[in-house]
Amino acid sequence: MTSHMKRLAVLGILTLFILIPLFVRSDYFLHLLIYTSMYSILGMGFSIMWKNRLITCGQAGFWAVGAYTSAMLVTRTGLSFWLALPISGMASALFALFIFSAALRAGPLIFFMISLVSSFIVMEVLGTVEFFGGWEGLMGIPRPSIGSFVFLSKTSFFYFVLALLVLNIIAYYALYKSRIGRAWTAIGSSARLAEVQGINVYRYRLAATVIACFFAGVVGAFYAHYQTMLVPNTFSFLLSIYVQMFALIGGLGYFIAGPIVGAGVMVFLPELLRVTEQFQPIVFGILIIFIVIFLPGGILSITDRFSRLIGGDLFRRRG
Amino acid sequence: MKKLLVLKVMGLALILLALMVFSSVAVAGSDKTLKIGNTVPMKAKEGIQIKKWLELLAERLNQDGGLVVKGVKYNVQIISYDDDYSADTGRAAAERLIYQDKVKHIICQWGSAPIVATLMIAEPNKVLQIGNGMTEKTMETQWNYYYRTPSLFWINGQQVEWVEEFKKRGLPMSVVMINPDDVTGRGATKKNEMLFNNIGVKILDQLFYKRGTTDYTPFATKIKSLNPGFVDTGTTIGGAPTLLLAKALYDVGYKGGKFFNNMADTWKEIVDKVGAEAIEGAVGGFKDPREYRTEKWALELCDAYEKKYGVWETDSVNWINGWFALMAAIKKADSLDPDDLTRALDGLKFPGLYVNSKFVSRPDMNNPRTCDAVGQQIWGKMTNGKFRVMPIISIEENYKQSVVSYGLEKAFGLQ
Amino acid sequence: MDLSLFFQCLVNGLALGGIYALVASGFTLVLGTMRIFNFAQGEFYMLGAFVTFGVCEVLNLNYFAALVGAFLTMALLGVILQRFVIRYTYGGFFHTVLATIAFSMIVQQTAVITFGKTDRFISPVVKGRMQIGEVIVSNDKLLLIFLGAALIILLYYFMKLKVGKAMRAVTEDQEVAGLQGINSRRIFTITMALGCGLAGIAGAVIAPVLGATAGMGHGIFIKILLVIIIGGMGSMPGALLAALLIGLIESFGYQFIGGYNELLLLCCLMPLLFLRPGGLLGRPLAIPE
Repeated sequence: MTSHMKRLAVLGILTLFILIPLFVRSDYFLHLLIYTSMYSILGMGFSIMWKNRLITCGQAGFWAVGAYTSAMLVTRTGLSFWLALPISGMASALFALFIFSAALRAGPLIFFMISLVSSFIVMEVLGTVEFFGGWEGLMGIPRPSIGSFVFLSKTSFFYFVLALLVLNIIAYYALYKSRIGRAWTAIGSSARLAEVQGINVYRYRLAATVIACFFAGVVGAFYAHYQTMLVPNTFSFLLSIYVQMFALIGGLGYFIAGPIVGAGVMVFLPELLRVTEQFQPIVFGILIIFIVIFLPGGILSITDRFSRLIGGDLFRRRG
Repeated sequence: MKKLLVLKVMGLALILLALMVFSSVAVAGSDKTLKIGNTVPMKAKEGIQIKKWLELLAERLNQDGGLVVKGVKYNVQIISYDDDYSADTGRAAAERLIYQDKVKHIICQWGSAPIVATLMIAEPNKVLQIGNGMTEKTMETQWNYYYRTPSLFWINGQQVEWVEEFKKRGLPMSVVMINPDDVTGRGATKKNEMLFNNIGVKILDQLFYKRGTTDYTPFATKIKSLNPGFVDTGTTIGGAPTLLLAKALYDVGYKGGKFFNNMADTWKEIVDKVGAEAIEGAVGGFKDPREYRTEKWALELCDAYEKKYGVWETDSVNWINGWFALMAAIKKADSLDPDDLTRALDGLKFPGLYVNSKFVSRPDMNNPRTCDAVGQQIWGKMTNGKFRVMPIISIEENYKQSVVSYGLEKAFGLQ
Repeated sequence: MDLSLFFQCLVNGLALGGIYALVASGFTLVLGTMRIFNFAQGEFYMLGAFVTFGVCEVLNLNYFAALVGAFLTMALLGVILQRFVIRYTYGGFFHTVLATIAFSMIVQQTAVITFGKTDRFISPVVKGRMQIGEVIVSNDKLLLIFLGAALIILLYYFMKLKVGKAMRAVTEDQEVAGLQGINSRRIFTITMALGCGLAGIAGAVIAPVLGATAGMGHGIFIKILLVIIIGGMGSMPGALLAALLIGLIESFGYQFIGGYNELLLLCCLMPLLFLRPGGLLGRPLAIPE
C-alpha cells in the first residue's frame, strides 16, 4: 500500500472528525467523543508498553497524577492552565520514573504487580489525604482560556482533545518509525535476543513507560479542566483494567489504531445497547471473554482476515 | 492493494460513524409530556425505593387527570438514572438528563456527591433542582435553582431531644462520633460537632470508616477504650452497616447510649441476629407513616405503594419530599418555568408523606433565598425489644431547637 | 491499652489473618502451579458466603453442610472457569489475566444485581460473648479462628499427600514433573478446584460474622495482593505468615494510627517489592514470555 494513499485516507478521516461538530447538534454525543479521545490516549500508552512486552495495570494512576497536578497548580497557585498542562505531563512521567525505574530491573511480573499496587496507592492517597481534597475530591477547577476566549462549549473541548489526540498519534507514529521504534519491536519479539544484539533493553523500556505516562498526565490535566471536578474514585483499578481492554478490543498488534477503536467501542456500545450503568461490567466482561477466546487479535484483525479473503488468496490455502 | 486499503479504511470509518450516529439519536417526546428528571444510587435500597415512589406518584397523578398547568394537561414522566452515589456517575447522569432528555426539573436526588455534581450543570442551564444532600455547599448564595428537602440541617431538634433523653437516663455528656468517610459523612460530622459543642456535650473523638467497611471491630474497640456516654453513628446507613456496627459495639462490651439514625428498618434484624440487649434504649429516626399519620391521602398512598410493589418499604418515604414540593410550587405558580417556580417556593409550606415542611432562608450563610426546608420530626426509641414512636416534634419547635443547637440565635434573629 | 482491648485486637487480628491465609493460599497455589493470576479469587470468596446464606437460611440446613457446600460449589465453578475459559485463551499470560478479570466482573456485577447490593445475614452459629475477668471476646470470632486454624492444618496435611507433593512438583518444574509421570493436566484441574474451593470455604467461615455482601470480593482481593507480595508468590507458608501479619497489623494498627494504617501498609509494599521480590519466603516467579 502506497504511503500516498495511506496519507490521503488518514487526512480523510481527520477531516471527517473535524467536521463532526457542524453536523451533530447533540452535546451529549460530543461528550462521548471527548471521552473516547481521552481513553484512546490512555490506551495508546498501554500499547506502547505492551509493544515492549510490559503489562501495566496502573494507567489510571498516572492519569490521576496529571489531573490532580494540574487542578491543584491552577486552583491553589493560580498558574496558567497552559503551563500546567505540560507540567502535569512531566509530573506523571517523573512519578512513573520513580516507581518503575527499579521495578523494570526486577522482571515483567514484578513490573505488573507494582503497576497494580501503584494504582491502588494513588487512589488511596488521593482519597485519604485531606490536602488532595479527600474522598470528596476537588471542585471548582476553572476552565481553560486563551486571552478572552474561555473554553465553555463542548465543541471547543472537542477540538482541544482532538488536537491532543492528533498530536499524540503523530508523536507515537514518529517514534515507532524511528530507531527507537525499531528497538522496541526487537525487544517486543524477544528481550533476550535484543539484549544480545546490544540493545539496552532496560533503557528503552523505561523510555516507553515514561512517554506513555507523560501523555497520560497531559490528558489527565485536560480531564480535570473539562470536568471541573475530580473525585478519587474515578481513578480506580477498574479504570486501569478498562484501559487494557481498549487495547485488547481494538487489537493488541495495532498500537495506534487499536486503542482508538477499542475506546470507541467501549464508550459507544453501552449507549447503543441502552445498557444501564449496572449492566455495563457484565456486557464488557462478556465482550472480553468473547474476544479472548474467539478473536484474540482484536477487532482490527477482522480487517486483516477480510483483506486476506478478497486479496486474491481465494484459491490458495494458507498453511 | 490500493483498492484494499481504501476499502479497509472506508469500511472502518463507515462502521464507526454509523455506530456513533445511531447511538446518539434522542427519542423525541410528545409535547404534552412533562419529563421530570431524577438520579439515584441503584445500589442502595433508598435509591431503588425513591425511584419506585416517584413512578407510583407519577402514575397516580396521570390517572387522576394529569398535571394541569395554564389549562394544558400534562402527563408526567419520570426519567431516572443511576448515579451510583458517586460524583462521576452522577455527573454523567445529569448530563444525560439535561443535554439529552432536556429536563427542566430534577427532583429527589439522594446523596451529596451526585447532587453537587448535578448542580454544576443544572445551574448554568437553569434547571430547577429539589433534592437533599448533607453538604452545606448547596446552600451557598451562588446557586439560584437549588432547593433542599428533606434537609439534614434541620434535624437537630431531634438530636437535642435525644441528648435530653440520655441526660435523663444519667449517662455522662460525652460522645464519640463515627461516620462514613465521604461527603455526606464529613458534612454530618461538622454539623453535629457544632451541635454538641453548643449544648454542652464533650466530643471525645471523630471516627471515619471507608464506605463498604464490614469489619467494625477496630472502631468498636476504639470506642470502647474511649468510653463515651453515648455514640453518634451519624449517617451510617441502615441495613448491614447499622447491624454490623451495633453488633461490633455489643461484642466489645460497650454499654453507653446510641444514636442509630437509620435503624428503623434494621432493628428487627438486629434483635433477631444479635439480640435485643444490643440496642435497648437506642434512638433513631422513625420511618413508618402508617403508625402516626392520620390523613386519608397519606394512608391511601401507602396502601397504593404496597399494592403496586407487593411489599411495604419505608426507607424513602422521607426522601420523596421533593415531589410534593415541586407539585405544590407548580400549583401555586401555575407554571412550569423554573424562574416562576423559585418565586412560588419562597417560604412555601407543603405537606409530605413523611412530614409537613416549610422552606426557610439561611441567614447564617447570608442566603436570603428560602432554599432549605424545615420539617416535623418523628423519632423512635428501642423499648423492651421494640422500636416505638415517640411524640412528634413540630416545625416551629424543630426550627427553634435547631437554631439554638447551632448557636445561631443571633443570625436567625431569635434572640 | 488495657488487657481487654489487647485481647480483642488479638482475636480480631488472628481471625482476619486466618481468612486471608485461606483465600491467599488458594490464590498462590493457582499462581504457582498454573501461572494463572486469578483475579476472580475474591468473587469465589464472595459466592462462598452467599452459598452459605442459601444453605443456612433458605434450605435451612446446618452450618457444617454450608461449609462443605461452599467448598464444593466453588471448586466446581473454578474448574468450569479453567476448562471452559482459560483453556481456550491462546494469547498467553495477558489474555488469561483479562479472562479472569472479565469473569470476576461478570460474577460480581451479576451478584450485585441479583442480591441487590444489600447484605445477607446468617444467624450466628454461636451467639454471645465470653468473659474472663475483664476481658470480653465475642464467641463467633473465636469460632472463626478455630475453623480457620482447622482448615489450614487440613491443608497442610493435604499437601503432604501424594497429590499435594505432585502439585508442588509441578510448581517447581513442569517438565521434570511430567518426566516423573505426573499428569499435569489433571494436577491443574485439582489445583484450580482446591484454590477456588479454599476461597469459597473462607467465605463460608466469615459469613456468620460479617454477612454476605456483593462487594466483599473486591475488598479481599487487595488484601490477597498484599499477602502474596509480602509472603511470596507460590509459597504457602509465606502466605500464611504474611496473612497473619497483615491481619494483626490491621487490627492493632487502627488503634494507634487510625485511618492511615491501610495507606501505610500499601506504601510499605513498594520498597518490599524491590528489596525482596520473592517476599519473605517465596521466590520471584517469571511470567512466561
